[in-house]
Amino acid sequence: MPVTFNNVSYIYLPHSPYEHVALKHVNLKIEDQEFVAIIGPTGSGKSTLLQHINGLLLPSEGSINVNEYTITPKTKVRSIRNLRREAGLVFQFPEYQLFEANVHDDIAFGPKNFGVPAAEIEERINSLMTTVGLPTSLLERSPFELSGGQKRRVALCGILAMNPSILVLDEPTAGLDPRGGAKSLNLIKKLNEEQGKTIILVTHEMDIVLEYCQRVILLIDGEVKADGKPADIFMNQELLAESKIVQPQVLQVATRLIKGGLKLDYRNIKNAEDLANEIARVKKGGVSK
Amino acid sequence: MKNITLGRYLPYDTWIHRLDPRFKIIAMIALLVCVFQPLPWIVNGFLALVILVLLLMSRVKISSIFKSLKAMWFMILVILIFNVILIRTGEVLFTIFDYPIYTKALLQTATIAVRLTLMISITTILTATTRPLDLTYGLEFFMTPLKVIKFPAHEIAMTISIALRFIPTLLEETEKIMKAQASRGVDLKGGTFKQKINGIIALIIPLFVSSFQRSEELANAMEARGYNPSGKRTRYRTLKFHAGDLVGLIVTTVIVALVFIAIYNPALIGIGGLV
Repeated sequence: MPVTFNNVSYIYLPHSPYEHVALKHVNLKIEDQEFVAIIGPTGSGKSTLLQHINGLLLPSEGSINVNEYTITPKTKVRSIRNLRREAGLVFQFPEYQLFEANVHDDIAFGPKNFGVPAAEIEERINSLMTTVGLPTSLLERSPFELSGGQKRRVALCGILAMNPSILVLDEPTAGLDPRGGAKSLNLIKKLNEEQGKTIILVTHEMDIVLEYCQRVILLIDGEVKADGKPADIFMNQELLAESKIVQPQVLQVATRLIKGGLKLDYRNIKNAEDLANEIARVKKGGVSK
Repeated sequence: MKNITLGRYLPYDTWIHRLDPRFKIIAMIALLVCVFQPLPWIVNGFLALVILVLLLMSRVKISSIFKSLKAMWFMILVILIFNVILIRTGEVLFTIFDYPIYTKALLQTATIAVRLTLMISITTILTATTRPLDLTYGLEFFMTPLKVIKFPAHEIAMTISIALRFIPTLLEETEKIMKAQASRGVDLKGGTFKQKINGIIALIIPLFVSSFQRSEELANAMEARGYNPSGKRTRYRTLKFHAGDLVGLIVTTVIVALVFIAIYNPALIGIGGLV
């Protein structure tokens, strides 16, 4: 079932000198199995938006529908507890949430809290370690002994072990080297394509958005400024200038080539390889000088 | 977590905000000493009025004071029970199941409750109107003479300011980890006792790990910039005693004097008959 935001507003610390309106009348609908990126400058309300999806924050105004749950300002947290299992939220730097004596117990922590039978937890842990590419020999080690990248994958396993149908990620590649970042995104893509999970992620890396996501939602000052296909949004020069979003690198090149007279179709370009293919396609078609 | 209001600095720009922190610390101590004197009710009322005016001037919400009292009702209840059992002088007000309740017991409890309220109000005024850093500068000023006896005044002030500086950071961190663990099904409000204990462990361990990491990073960063605790240093913001501070000092002195005259020589200010 889709995720729907109906006129959602959120105010931090209302009626105090620190009052801050983080979301202003947000309306959104994210369909099942979509791969959506939420972008926007710092302080635009991205993380606040994410935390509404699994009921960590309740809206100050409006309502949210996720699967069969409805969240309103008056919702009791207890009544939406199972929503947290269905919409798995992976925070920025999730390695900080590790605490158990060994990796196995840490991954089992989430599903155990939601009453998943022990035998099934074992099964999930074993298959997840393969999915995220960690050797099962790590299961007995302390999570604090692992490398940064490994810790992050263990933390991701801890959320995936609850088998959520919606996966929400806040800056999944922050602090990872380019290869580690690409690895985790390919993993997320696999979860989307093979297991049909809805993916909603926040990122500052526009190259990633272009290459992996089907749809972009641009938030500015708590309002939805744009919503559409990545290529269309990243080629909208007015919008880019206004929102101070940096165009993905391949599209920067493409924009110059198009300006120079090459009739590229930017909708076909998601990464460097696509760009090369597109140039080849146009050249073969015979472009007159 | 961000909803903690008690003792938090309020970024307004009132007359009290602009006062010298050193004066404010002295004034707070003076007023606290007054509040804890065995005062006749009329003087207590006068002090309460002064503190109310100060609260209004510093734009602290009165409701936030009462909110913090809510957390203390249990303590006041315990004091009440003890007083009812232990104090057996004065008139009998009424009897419950043949057990006499003395007026003195109730009065005593009321006095303690009033004193606590006034104490909280006074300290709230100080912390709400003074930046934590200014507060430590003020404390350092008072500790400096102790350097003569090798008291590490600067080091202690630095430790306090670092601790104060990291309180919001730690609260933020706590909130973040709480949310991360809540996303993994931790339910600190509901749940069985065992679940709650597990939830607290899931919160405290990551908090400890990141605090240790942070303190190591901070120590390295300070050393990288050549920090030397025994070195002589200057400050960007220096404390200055302004005319306003003088006015405040005179007002405080008058109040304290009035209170002590009221205690020891009430006839002098014409309230002899009321005490």
